[in-house]
Amino acid sequence: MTRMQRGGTLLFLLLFVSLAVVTLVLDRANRLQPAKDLVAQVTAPIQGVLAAATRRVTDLREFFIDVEECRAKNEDLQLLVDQLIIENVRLREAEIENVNLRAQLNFKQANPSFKLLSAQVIGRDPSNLAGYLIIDRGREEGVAVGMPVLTDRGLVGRVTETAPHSSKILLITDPSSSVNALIQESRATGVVQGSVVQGLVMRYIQQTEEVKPGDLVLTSGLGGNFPTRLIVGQVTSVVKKDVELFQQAQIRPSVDFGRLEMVMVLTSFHPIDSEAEQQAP
Amino acid sequence: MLIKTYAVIPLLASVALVQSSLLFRFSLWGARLHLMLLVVVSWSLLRGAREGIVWGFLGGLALDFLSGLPLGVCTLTLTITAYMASLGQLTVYRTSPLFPAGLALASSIFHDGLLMLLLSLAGYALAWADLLLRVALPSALLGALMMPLVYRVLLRLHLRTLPEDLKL
Repeated sequence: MTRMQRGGTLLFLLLFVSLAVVTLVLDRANRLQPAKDLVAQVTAPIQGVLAAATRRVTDLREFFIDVEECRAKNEDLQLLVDQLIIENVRLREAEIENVNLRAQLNFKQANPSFKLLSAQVIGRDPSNLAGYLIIDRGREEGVAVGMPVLTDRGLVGRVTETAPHSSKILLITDPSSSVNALIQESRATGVVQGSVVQGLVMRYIQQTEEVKPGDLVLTSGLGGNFPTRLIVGQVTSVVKKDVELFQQAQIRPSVDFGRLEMVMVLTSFHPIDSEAEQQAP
Repeated sequence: MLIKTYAVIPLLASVALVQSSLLFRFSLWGARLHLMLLVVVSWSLLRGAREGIVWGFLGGLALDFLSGLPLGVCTLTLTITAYMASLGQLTVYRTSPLFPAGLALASSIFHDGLLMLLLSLAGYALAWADLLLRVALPSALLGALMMPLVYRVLLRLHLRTLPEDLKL
């Protein structure tokens, strides 16, 4: 490569890097929302189809085992058995969906004050580094930024971005997520933060409070970002050092984030925008 | 026939959709496959910096639209990674069958490191050590394992779309 060619390539790189930086700046100024909405409208149905097609295949080993099994049965039992397998898969899907919906219905009946909107998980953050979900409900269905997202087992996260028919959810396991919480038994308060390995850590618990493994952790409602008494998880271990101001607890989330298929958006809850309230006269 | 940009867009958009909607379900000990990165690195190695940069830019943009991260972060990261990967063309080791896998490993770690740096600058709270050890490194190893397969597919596309005067 000659010096001139190398210079030309570097200029080419500079041009595209500049374009990427301009995109970043425009996005920060919220100028790209119409483009994002348009793309979300196009991609959400495709993601829905892809997600439905692979819902049962949850990890690589399972996938290969399924393929092997199907191939063996195909050789042995030919068309009739194939049809039965397909029928069976369809029925199992319906059964799983039925169980999910029944659990959601029970949750709704147990919490009549909650207005809940069911949504299907159609995608995940492709970067691997951030904990986001994409669901198939958006602005048109009444979803707004800040609304809590949950399952019948507990809190999942909150809406951070909405498009007409899809939304992005920041999971509570993402390191940038914080939830004000309390220990059910001792009423000790603290802040639950996400960590990389899909676990949760409850920080800022007073040293005088008694916390033990097995204690349930619920949302406290402090700060107005989440309603009270939503299950976050269960304490698995406690770290208490005399030299530190606070103790902290490792929390096992009540929700299995690796297998989320359906969630509910709590549309009746609107978080308090404390910054806006402080600015108001 | 060279691959025109308008033909690349649906291809890379499909890769982004597959990565966002399908691949997240497949994991091996916490590692997830970054298909787009492997595609862009392969193409940079096969076609050089300029086409690699265009693929990195478009692929990153496609990921950005499906990601919850600020729009432009993946674009910037993948564009620079594509350029870095294209430098592999200049080494004498590029004919080795193991070279694409090694390049995928290095590119993946570089990509994730750069992405984390940009996110930190944007104000995201990141646990660097945990992310590098438990997410970036296993994913880079998985990427290196899968690279020969992806590279083979891209090599066929490369040979089919090579201009007539460049074919042997």
